[in-house]
Amino acid sequence: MKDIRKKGQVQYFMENAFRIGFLIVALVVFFMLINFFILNKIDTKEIQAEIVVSRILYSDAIMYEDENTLRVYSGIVDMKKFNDETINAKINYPIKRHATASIELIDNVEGKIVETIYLNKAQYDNLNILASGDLEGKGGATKYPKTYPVTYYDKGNYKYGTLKIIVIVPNS
Amino acid sequence: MKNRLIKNKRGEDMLVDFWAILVFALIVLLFFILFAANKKEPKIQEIHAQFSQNDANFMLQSFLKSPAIGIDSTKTVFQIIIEDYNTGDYSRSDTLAKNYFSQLKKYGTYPVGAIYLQIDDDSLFFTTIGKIELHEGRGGITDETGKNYYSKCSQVSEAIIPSPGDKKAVIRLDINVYYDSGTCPTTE
Repeated sequence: MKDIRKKGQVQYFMENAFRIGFLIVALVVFFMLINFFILNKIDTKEIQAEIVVSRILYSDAIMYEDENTLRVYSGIVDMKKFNDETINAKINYPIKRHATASIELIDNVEGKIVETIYLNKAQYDNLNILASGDLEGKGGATKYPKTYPVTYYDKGNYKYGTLKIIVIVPNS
Repeated sequence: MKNRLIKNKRGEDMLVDFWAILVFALIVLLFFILFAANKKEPKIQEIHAQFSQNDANFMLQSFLKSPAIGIDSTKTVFQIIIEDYNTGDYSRSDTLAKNYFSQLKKYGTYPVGAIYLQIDDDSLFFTTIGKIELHEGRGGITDETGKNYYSKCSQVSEAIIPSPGDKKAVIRLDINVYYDSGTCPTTE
């Protein structure tokens, strides 16, 4: 005989509430797993930094260039070109909210800083505050320090030095 | 009331559901762990390793092409090394390498433990260890700030130099870097 008591309906609902809750959890998990598969956000900050460093090291921006053959001697820094004006003219990104860098040349014998130049200094000053504060998220920035031993050519003399490049890339 | 509960078989259903849910949850958890461990990190590690290789190549090439300051600036380091290779006395090459790499104390943010420069017959002619105060810490190496480094990784570059006869000597630059992660960056 069919039970028509209302109390019974409530009892079934209470049992199913547990299953409905589990179903919701399972669906959420399902969508989260799909998101793991879809790579729509790729972190390119480190690549941007490496590209800027490669451009500094291998281009004629600060490196010595033979006037006759136009061959660039990467690894030999020409001090005549080691200034803000030259590097910003040679490496000029139209979008100013791009990676920025400070380049510090240290003399190996004396261990002192010979000169420091900046690629896009206004941007460097802004991003340096954000990067130094270790602020994560889209508004922040990340520092990528790199060090390379080089030779530098200054006033007719060759000397051994070390380039300390700090690239700062905005997080967004 | 007690009798009603004992007779009610719905309780058994719930028990079966409970174990099914538990197994499902464990499988989902396993998936999460596997995905989290394998998804994006290897790609970033691979990029890091490839650029590290470029850095080592740049350092070796610029060292070999640099003028031999303090010995004979009209010659390159490369020429001095060939001369030393032929005589078997690497004292001049050793001096040049020490002067050239003297300020390479860190690779990025990671401390450089040692730099080796050697010819293919394994005759080590330059090494520097302990550029940064490093000592054995709990589970790794610790620097002066107390930061722990767990793995020692090599950035290696090689170049072929001509030698007497048909033999080709290989010069190898090996920069040992301490990393704070458990594994070294790899391109594999």
